[in-house]
Amino acid sequence: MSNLVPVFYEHLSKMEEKQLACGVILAACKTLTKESIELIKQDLGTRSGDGSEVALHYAYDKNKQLFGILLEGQKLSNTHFYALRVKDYLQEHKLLTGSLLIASFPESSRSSGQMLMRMIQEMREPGAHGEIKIYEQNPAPKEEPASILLVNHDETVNEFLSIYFQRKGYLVTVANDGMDGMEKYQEVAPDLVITDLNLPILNGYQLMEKIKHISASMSKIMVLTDKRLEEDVQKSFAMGASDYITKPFSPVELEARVKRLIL
Amino acid sequence: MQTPLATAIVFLYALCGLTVLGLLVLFALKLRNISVEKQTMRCLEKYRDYFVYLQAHGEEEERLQVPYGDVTQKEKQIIQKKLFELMERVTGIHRDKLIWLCEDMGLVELDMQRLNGWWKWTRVDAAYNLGIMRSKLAVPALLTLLQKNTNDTSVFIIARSVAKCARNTEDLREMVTHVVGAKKNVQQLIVDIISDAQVDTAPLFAQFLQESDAELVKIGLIGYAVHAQPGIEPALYQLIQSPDKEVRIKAVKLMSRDIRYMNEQAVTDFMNHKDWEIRAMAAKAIGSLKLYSYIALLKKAVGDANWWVRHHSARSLAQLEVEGFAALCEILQEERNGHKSEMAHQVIQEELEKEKLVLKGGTATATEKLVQYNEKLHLYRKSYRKTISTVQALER
Repeated sequence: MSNLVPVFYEHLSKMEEKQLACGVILAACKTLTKESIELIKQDLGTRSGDGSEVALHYAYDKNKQLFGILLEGQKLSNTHFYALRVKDYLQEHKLLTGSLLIASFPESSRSSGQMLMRMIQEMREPGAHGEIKIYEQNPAPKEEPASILLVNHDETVNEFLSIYFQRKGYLVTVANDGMDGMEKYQEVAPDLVITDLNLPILNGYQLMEKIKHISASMSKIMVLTDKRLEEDVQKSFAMGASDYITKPFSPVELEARVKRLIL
Repeated sequence: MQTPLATAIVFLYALCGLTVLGLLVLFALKLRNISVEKQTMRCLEKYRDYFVYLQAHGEEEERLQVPYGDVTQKEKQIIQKKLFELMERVTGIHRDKLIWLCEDMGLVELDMQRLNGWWKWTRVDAAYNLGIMRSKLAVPALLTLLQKNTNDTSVFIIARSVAKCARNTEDLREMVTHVVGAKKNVQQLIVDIISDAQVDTAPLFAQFLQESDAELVKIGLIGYAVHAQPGIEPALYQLIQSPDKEVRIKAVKLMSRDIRYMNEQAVTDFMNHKDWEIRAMAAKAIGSLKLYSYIALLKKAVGDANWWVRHHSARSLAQLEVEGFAALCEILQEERNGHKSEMAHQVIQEELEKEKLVLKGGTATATEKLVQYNEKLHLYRKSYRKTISTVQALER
């Protein structure tokens, strides 16, 4: 049985030479035999999500019980999509024992080997069963990531922003109402609070007031709301908000504003 | 022969039967709802990772992929609902990618077919869905549906969908013409509907200003107030003579907020207009735009027959610093009695009282304010030599 690291390292070096991007999926698995790997190869096939033929390389690390797939020429989004199939397959055959980790190796990367090792290290950290984690290449890993507290009663917005900001490298905490927001604020002392004005228990204004009260050097506050009236904008700024965005919002614009406030 | 008691018993039995039937129907509906809810939860759980994938890669250049494997019609509808929730909350590339995904999943095609459904609310629902998916292909079919539905409020749902899907201003124009033909006095709502369009709507509003239909002109004026565009001054100016009073007022309201339109000719015309609303608006605008050169016009307008014109003229003079205040004092000198001097006197007193309160506040600019206050008080005393209690009170 081939070891995962040397096999993938060889392929990654070839990709580097060809200046091709590639995706990697790592999954915590039960012990696999050579036959079962062959079966997985056959069942999963060689087609990517969009139906195009893709060169796939499989490897299994017996010691670490890690199953890996390298997708030639695929970027992160396609790798993620392929990982959905892999996860379903492994779960269906009761082979999955932990989480999955996906990553994309850029075209001109010179540190693929290191990146692969860091991925394997990250797989050692226990994750939720079946969770698909995205490995983000952090250019400055020693720096503490900025933290954001999302206070919104709208679950769709919370879910979307939490995925979006986590992918951008922020630490995200979510609260569903004003009171929960206040408690989480005291717990995590975030760099930025993104709050709605329409909140149950404590509304956005009351939350801002309380934050102002308990913290002299308070975190930055951004309002993200449906309310478009001038008086709401005026009141929010008067109560210490640093920015005001209305829904529907552009996530790209929102992130640019967040960056401006935090950095 | 049946006795009344027997009739009553039969009636009671029938009533009980109906009640039981009703309860059974309610129970069945409840069970159905629970089953649908469970099905939805199962489906959302099944596609949980897929939804994370959709939300995690909204910014990348690759198109989002449709779920792999067999997706049932019911599952497609549940996924569509989830996609719509996202599309209603985000804009930009994230929404565009979700729209493309809807096309790839065949959801647009499905709703295009539903547009021809036999039940009216299926057609309206399909129109609503197509609007959210901003399907340009659906515009002709939506416009046809709009023409057929003119009697109830569903016309606004379809109109909004047309606006969201519009390929150009011509589509919007056609939609507006249909809605205006079906419903009256909904100009504000139509402008709100048009604002959902992804095309530049400023030229459309400019076109409406030159229409003969007063309803369209009003839409143009309301829209223009939001989407200001240079170069339409002549069209606006012509509307001052419109036979429709509302159009005249809206046109002047628009011009009065911009200093570029308030030239000598325009201001003179407004201040001599037959509508008191226009005279009042112009008087108010002169003060708020600080147009010192029209002090003489304002001074004259303080004697207008309409109270509102007098009020705004006097208030505007008070806003024009010492120069305007001096004009108010001149009115007192020129006319001892009547509406004109009464209004001037009232505003002078209010102004002096207000400034006195500001001075008591003691801000950084207090010295400057004090000089101005003293100057105004001096002018007042000079013009109104009679020893009156107000002057004494203010001096205290």
